[in-house]
Amino acid sequence: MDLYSILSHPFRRKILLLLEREGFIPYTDLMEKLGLDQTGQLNFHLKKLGSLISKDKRSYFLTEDGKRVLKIISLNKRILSGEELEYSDKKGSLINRIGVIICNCNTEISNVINIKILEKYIAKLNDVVSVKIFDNLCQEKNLNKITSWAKENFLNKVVIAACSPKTHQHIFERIFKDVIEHTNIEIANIREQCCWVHDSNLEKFSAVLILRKAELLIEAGIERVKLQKEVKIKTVEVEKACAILGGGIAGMTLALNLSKAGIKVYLIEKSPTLGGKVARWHRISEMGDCSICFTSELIGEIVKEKNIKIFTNSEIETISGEVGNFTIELIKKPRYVDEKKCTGCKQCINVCGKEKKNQYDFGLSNRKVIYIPFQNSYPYVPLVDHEDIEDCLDCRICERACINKAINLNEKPEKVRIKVGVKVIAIGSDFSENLKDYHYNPQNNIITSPEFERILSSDGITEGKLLRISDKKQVNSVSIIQEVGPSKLLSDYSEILAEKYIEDIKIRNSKCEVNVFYDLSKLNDKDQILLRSTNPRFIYANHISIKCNKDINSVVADDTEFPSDLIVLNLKYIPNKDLKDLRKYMDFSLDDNGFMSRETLASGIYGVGTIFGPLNYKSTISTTHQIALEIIYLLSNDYLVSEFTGIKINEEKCGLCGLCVDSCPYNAIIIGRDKINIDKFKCKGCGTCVSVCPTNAIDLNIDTSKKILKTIEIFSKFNKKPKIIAFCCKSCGYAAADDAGLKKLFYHPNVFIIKVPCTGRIDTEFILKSFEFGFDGVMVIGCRKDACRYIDGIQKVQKKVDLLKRVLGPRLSRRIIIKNLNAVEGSKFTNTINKFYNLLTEEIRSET
Amino acid sequence: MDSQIELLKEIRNNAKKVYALGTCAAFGGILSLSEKKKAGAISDIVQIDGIIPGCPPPLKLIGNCLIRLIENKEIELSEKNLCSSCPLRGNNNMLFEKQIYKLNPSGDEIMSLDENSNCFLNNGILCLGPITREGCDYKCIEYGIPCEGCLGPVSKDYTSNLINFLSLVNLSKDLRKYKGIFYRFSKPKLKW
Repeated sequence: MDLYSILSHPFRRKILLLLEREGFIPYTDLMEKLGLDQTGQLNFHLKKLGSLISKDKRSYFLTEDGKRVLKIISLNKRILSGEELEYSDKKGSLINRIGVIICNCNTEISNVINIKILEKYIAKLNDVVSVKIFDNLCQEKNLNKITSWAKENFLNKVVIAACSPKTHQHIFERIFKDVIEHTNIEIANIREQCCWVHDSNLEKFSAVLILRKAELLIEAGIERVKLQKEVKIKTVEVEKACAILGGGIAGMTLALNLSKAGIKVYLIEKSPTLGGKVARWHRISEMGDCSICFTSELIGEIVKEKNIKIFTNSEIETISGEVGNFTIELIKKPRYVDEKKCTGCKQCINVCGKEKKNQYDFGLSNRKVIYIPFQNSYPYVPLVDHEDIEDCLDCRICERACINKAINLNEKPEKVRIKVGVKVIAIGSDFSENLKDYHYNPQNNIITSPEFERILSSDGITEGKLLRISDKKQVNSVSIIQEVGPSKLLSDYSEILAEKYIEDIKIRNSKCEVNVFYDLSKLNDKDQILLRSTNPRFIYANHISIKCNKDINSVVADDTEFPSDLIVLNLKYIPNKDLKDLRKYMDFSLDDNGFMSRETLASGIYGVGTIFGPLNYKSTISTTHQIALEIIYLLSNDYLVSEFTGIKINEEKCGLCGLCVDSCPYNAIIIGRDKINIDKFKCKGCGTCVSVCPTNAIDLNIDTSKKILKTIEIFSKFNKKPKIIAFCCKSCGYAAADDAGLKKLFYHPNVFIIKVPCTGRIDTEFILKSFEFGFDGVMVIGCRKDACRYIDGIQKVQKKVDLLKRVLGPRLSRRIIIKNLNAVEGSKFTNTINKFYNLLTEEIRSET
Repeated sequence: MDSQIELLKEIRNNAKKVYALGTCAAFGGILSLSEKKKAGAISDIVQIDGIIPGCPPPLKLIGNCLIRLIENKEIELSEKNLCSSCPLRGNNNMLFEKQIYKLNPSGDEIMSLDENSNCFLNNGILCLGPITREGCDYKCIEYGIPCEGCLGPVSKDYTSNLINFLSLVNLSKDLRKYKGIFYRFSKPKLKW
């Protein structure tokens, strides 16, 4: 028959298009979709379609010919169909074509149960297209057979009756990688939970019972896989570049590491020069090296790298995108001096007539409006701060003084857009301020530790000599007050710094008296501090204050006065002030001390350096290397597949009561006034929130409540009393059951195990429903109390069960038990079950 | 009692649709707490097409349901809980562990709603709003009385909802012995 006469009728075109869209459609669904109520009409059209479609046991699908025809007509599909096709997603569009594989595991299964009867039972179940028995599923020689079997039968879901998912789940997922979604693979554990733990010689009928249990385990697997809905998967192309915010020691080291691994690096620094705080230090404590020698060498290496692009004087405006593909918009503030033309001759600085305090010397010295921050700053090009341009006299003498015409005072901010795969925050931390109590005044020789660094530094205020700031006289006594600042965080850092200062002072003036003061009232752990030092110069006092006199200041420590030429306030680190702004663009939260909390960083964002709190040089470098490895690993992928198997929220049902927020151990649910959000990066999928949601608005993507309730229902078909249901958490309880299986310990086949992600997932409804369905005992098997993988899931279920026992009364409350086991306590597992079994048997006997 | 059941069955035989009106018909109601007399939901005896809960059923709910039935549509109850549109909603801070030590506010504590009124749960009073269906006119809350859950649960059953909810708060020891709160309106619904 010619093609045109086949396609002439709108019904036939509709059938073809429906089959193309949905793949497989059973006869009755086809009737429904076409709006036909008589079979004769449909039969006629199906006959007419002839070789374009084909039929198997259940449903119709397109043949290769049919696909080819549709390809030809796809250009004007719409016109051909004559009218708009409305596809309903409600019924029929998701057809289950389930295949069941029974792995015989080298006759381990068939030794105990009759595998042929099992196969027959399974084949009769609804939606099961094909049942296949393999001897060894996990062997590689079977791989091709399995995939071709799945393709031949057009399977979209698979139930594997084999060993525990803990053993071979990953292999099975790999086998079906290109054929079936891994969420649509369900494993029925008939080896560890059935064949290996039940002795068929014990009772007369036990062989029948074991077979029945295996049947129900597989049937429950089929029902579960039927209820699985599609989980949306998103692929992200990875941009092989990295943005690093902050050009300090940590940022620069990381940039160098990454660029050597071939990753494009954008180094973004807020200030006009690289180097960060360390560049202004006198020397690095543990290295003995002068810090500017070291940093300038590092900067030199960075400049050589072609993979690193440096943005100084730049700030972030917006960040969008997700891990693997972020878009960052930068604002490059004007320097007013062209970096390419400038030679660094400093003529412009010489002629400038206006002075300002130099913030790079902490205001202790003056600079011109056009200036270079410090020796060895990079780029070594003068600049005018964007904020200072209003203070500029606008005399334009510098413009004339510049031979290369590099100065342009009309320069405007520039916007730059970059694309990166990961972001790194390396903006460091700040020093505590608010030093009123200490009479802080550099002109009166009471200075802070960063300022002291500038005194010691040879390019600093006093060119490295130990002089008083007020009158430039030699210093003969220095007092160092430790841990000045509000933060409670105690660090070894101030110790190291004090030792460094003492060394440096002694080099410059060996007779100089140095006193180091500790305020005991501020330190949490006094003993530890006292142990830390045996040096007699260290003074511990309950109260430290500073007394300002005319010519010499003194430190008062518990009524004793220590006159000193110079008082150094060793400042504590406090969180960087820019952190709060950064939270607008990036997902992380702050810890108790206000530093960045490492655990809360979203994926694709990393932190290095002192943003997590004070850190010495060596640890900074070593953590930077660690992070570099993590980033290289992430960026080595071409694509990231982001699949979220945690929770989903149905906003139509959510009443924003906030019970889930209370229950979440990871604070992954954020609730606003009229909105609820899941932080996908924090959610670990424990399902504790699902168990408390009163409106069923939250559900897990995989272990849905419906699946668990259905499993309970299927298991209740087992007809030998007493029936026991055991809810096992996947990390401990389920593993303990597996351990019992591997050790081939015996327990009765009346026990059915349901796997839950965490015991916190167990809803009171599950327990009540189990009793309603006729189970006699409920067991909850979870982690040990201090070792719950999801922090406190086991405590939460304990609370629920305690309350439930109150309602149920003595008879039923004896029938719920909670047990804490770890993964290797298989023998305890069987002991508990057998004891519980005997107790229930006796109770039931006495009742009847 | 038996004559009532006969009557109910007769109604079912003759009527196209049967709805359970009010909390007693829908869940068994407060009377079912009595141990001497037997009371139960009508859905236990005959098949019903739906429920219109409430003690008393809110006027608006009855009206809306009737209109929908006249239009030959199925009646729809809200799928959200009471908190979603509670007048006290803005004043609730869900992020701390709550102590619950009272079932009802004492006489002098009852005050009608104003701007500064706090969520009952923050004041240590058991309010069943989170586990109760939305749809009443907040009459109780406006008069300073916490929700008692007469509209019944949205999903799951009343008892498991309540236990899940109470496992998140610290229930005082005195309250734990009141079994009635665990199935105030719906004791006959418990089947085990």
